[in-house]
Amino acid sequence: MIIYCLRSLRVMLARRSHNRTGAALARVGFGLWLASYYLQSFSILDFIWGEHGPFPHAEFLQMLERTGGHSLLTFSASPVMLNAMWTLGLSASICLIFGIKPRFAALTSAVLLWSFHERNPTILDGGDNLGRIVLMFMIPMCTAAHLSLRRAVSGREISRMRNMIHNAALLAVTFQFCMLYGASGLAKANGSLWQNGTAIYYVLMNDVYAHPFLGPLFSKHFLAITIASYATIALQVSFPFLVWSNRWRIASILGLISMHIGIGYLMGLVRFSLVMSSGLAMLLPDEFYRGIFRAARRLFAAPELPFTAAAR
Amino acid sequence: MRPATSVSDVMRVPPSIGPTPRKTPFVVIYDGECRFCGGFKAWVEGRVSSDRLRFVPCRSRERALEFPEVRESECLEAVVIVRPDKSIRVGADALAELASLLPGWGWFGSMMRVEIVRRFARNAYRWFAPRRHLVSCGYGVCQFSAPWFEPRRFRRWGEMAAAALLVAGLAGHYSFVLLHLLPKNPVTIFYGDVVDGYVRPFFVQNWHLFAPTPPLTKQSIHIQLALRPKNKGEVALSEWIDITSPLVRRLWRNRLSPAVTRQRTIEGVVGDYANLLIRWKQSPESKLPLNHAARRYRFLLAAIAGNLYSEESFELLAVRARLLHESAPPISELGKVNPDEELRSLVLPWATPLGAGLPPEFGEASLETSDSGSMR
Repeated sequence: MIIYCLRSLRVMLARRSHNRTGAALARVGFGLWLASYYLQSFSILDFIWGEHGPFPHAEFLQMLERTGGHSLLTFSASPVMLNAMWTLGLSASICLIFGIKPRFAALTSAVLLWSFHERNPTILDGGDNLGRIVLMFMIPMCTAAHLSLRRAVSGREISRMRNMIHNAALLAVTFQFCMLYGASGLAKANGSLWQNGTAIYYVLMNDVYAHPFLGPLFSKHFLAITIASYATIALQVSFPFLVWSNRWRIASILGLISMHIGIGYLMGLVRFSLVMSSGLAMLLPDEFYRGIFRAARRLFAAPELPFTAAAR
Repeated sequence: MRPATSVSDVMRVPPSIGPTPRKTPFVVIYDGECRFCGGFKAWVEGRVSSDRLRFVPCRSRERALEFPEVRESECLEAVVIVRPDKSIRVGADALAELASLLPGWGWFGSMMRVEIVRRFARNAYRWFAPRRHLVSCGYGVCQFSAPWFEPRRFRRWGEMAAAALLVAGLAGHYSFVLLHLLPKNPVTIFYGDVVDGYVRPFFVQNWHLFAPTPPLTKQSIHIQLALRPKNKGEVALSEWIDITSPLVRRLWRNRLSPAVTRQRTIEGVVGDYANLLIRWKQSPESKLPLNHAARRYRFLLAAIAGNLYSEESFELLAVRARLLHESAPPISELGKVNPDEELRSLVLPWATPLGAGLPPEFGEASLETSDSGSMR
């Protein structure tokens, strides 16, 4: 029995690297997410990470001493250092978007992102938390097979050991999402406002999280609010089970991506939604993307003109 | 006397005034019939000049004549190095000697001389030497070949072992993560340090995401400045200035604007300080990082206040923040003319921008000690 399981595991992990299209999409998504993080901070670098804000360098060092954290920004308080790190971070994110040295870019991005997160932890949300964990798993993955300027591995087969490492990292990302949605779904199921289907109403009554026009409009539709509240719990709690089923995986992931698009638009959490959707896109199989590509080609193919057929 | 037969004989000069004699090379006596040893010899020869190192096969007349002290049975068992001073090194020690002769491998030679490494290397050499015939080398590539060795079978088992290891590693990792995410349970109570030690700092995570309760109040932050005119007039307090609403408006105009990070920083620092003050009020004996939060609060307010008054006309004495919580009307009251909404205000202590003591008119509260922070 154990030998049988090990054989199946070996076949599953070593034969081919799974979800290469999804991994490439996730790489682009993560690159955009990182680039937006750096560009968003450009005009207020000194306020959020510099000397003219709540975390001047001396305060930052004390904070790290207390929390035991690590950051590359400990080395110098100089604005030159801060600007250099920012430029390096932005360059690494651009390399990720275009697939230039994606492993090195992912490693550099992970280290720098970690350093900046430690510098000012107040600006982080759940997306930042997920992003920096998944970025670590993206380092050994094969993400340059598609959508890459340097398609280093698309033309040839990669070694079985590389397949195994890629697939193990993919498995780790899947487990990570199971933890995320499992924990979040169960916590919601325990909340009285989620249980009575009104939680989304209260979220939309907060002007930081409610679209100025659509928020008040949506909050008056009790049916929509109740359905959205229960659907959120159902999607999140079911994900750790459905993601392992070939039949339900795609439906579950697409449901969650739709939920994140809704969150991004209605609640304005664009970066959060981008990183979550990119991570989920990694879990969709290659066959799904091939199917979409074929359907799109059929849809946009030039119609055959009648006289051409007659002339033949 | 032997007659001179060549020009070199005629021109021979005494050794004391001629060119320095060639240094005696190190001599490596190796098993010439072993293909692995032959491959290794070729590898070494490519890295060191022949006047530094000479190779002599074990089963050769040359070895028997020049080095009768090295017996054939000995050099077939392990590689032997004869140093220029005629001292002999055997096996792993010979390899250490050889490494120190190779450019770029000196560190390896030095490491092999460390007692514990030397012991290990000697045992490893003793294990490998009789099995060296199973490895054959040629054209820079070494292969393992034994009658019982099937590469495909080995690869299959190797892959199964690697797959099992990877999955076991993932299972172990996510067991820790799961324990970190679960509410308190017997395992986390007794082994909380172990779980925390593994998860922190790289895998810390929190997936509450508006659960179990979403934010029930709208929060806005206002600040008030205490200013003294430069012409030595009376100290004046400014109006409460709403710093959240303009940011929220900007944030909705462009969801990727810097207003997002600015608003989160302000909300995070002020909210953190307010929460710590409330907890400290409830239990003054508890050890809370209140001073750190107070310093960050002071730095933040100083940075914000700098843009709100004219430095030419006024001197900034102190600044403080107020948190305004407006609760959302219950869903049952939505649509009513006067829904049941609550408004709560929390005024935080004054902070001096430069960390100096507060002027007497602002009370005794000093942020550096923070313990006397006042709340209304």
